[in-house]
Amino acid sequence: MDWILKIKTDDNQALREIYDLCREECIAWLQNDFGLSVHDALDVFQVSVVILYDNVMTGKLSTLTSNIKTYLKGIAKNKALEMLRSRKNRIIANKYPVMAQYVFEENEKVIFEEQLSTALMSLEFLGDPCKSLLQLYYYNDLSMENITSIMGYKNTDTTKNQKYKCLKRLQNIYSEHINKIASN
Amino acid sequence: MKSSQEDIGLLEAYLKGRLSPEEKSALEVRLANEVDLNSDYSDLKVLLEGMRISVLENKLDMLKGLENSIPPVAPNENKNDSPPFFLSKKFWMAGIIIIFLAIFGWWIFKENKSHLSEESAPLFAEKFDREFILHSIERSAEVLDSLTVEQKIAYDLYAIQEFEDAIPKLNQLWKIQNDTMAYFYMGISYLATGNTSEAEKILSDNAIISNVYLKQKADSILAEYKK
Repeated sequence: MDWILKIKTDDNQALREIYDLCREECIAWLQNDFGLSVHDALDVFQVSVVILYDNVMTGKLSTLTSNIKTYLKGIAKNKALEMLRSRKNRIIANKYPVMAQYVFEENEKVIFEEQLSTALMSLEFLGDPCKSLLQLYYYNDLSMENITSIMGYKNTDTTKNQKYKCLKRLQNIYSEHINKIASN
Repeated sequence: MKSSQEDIGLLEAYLKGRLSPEEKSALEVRLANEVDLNSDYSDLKVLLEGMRISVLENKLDMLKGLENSIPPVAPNENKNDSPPFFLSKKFWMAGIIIIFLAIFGWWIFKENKSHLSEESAPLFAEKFDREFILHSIERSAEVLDSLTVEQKIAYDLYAIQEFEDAIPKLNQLWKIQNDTMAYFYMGISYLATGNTSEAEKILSDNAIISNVYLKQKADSILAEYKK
C-alpha cells in the first residue's frame, strides 16, 4: 500500500485506515513502554497520526523506508517523551490547541505565537468557502483544476480570482487584529 | 495586501521552494528593497502557517470523532495506575513459568543421570526387566518384610534404572551389610552407566563368583555385553 499517495489523494480515508491499522498496537506499546494511561496514550497516538499526515503534506515525508507502523511509532515515541518531560518539569498545559502548539514550536523564533494565533482566529473569522479554498490551494497544494472541480466554480480563472480575493480578505482581517493587539 | 496577483504568485512559489535560483535571488533583492512586498511576504508566511494549524486541528477533531464511534481501548495492565507489579497477572505468570522451568530442568537433569551408556542401552532395553532384576518386586507384605528399608530403597532405585542414585546406596549395603545382591546390582549399575572396568571388577569378584547363581548371571550378562 502506497500510504503517501493515498494520503495525498484521499486524506480522510487514508487517515481512518491508518488509525484503524495502528491504533491497538500503538496504544498498547505507549502504555507498556512509556507507562502512559489509556487516555494519554490515545492523545499521543491521535496527534502522531496528524503529524504523520502533516509530514506527508509538507513534503517532509516523501518516501516511506519503513513500515507505516514503525514510522508512526517513531513520531509517537517523541511525543510521549515530550509529554513525560513536561510532566516531570511541571509545565502547565498550553493555552493553545495541541496542533497549534506543534506548529508554534516548529516556527519558534521566526514567527511569534501571537501572530499565529491571530492568523488562526482570522481564518475562522473568514469562514467558508474562502477558508476551504485557501486551504486546498496552500496546504493541500491542489491544482486550480482540482479546486475548481471541488468548489464547483465555473472555470480556473474564476478560482484564481476568487483565491486572490479570499487571500486579500484574510490578510485584511489579520492586519486589523494585529494592529489592535499592537495598539493595546 | 498591496502586492499584485502576479507578485503574490511569486511569493507563494518562493515559500513553496519552487523558484529557480535566479528567480529566487531576484525576489530576495526585491524583498530587501520593497517594503510592501516584504510586508505581504511576512503576512503570507504567517497566514500559511495559520492555515496549516487549522487543517491539522480539523484532522485531529476528525480522529477524535472516529475514536468515539469505535469500541474504547481496553486499559493495559502495565499502565501507571495499575496495581503494584507483584500483584499483577504478569508477575504470577512469570512465577509459574519460572517454577515450571525449574521443575523441567531438574527432571531433565535427573533423567540424564540415569541415562544408559550407548553400549549398554540395547542390552538393558531387551533384558533388564526380565533377567537383571533378581529380587522379588512383588509388593506383598511378606516379601517386603524380608528386606530392610535401605535394601528396599536401593533395590527400587536399581529396578527403575536410576543407576547413578542407586550406586552409592548399593555400595553402602555391600560395605555395611555385606549384601552380595547389592554388590551384584552395583556391578550391573556400573555396566549400565558405561563404567565397564568397575563393572567387570565387581562381577568377577570372589564375592560374586562364589555364589553359583550370581556367577552364572554375571558371566551371561558380561558375555552378552561384549557381543
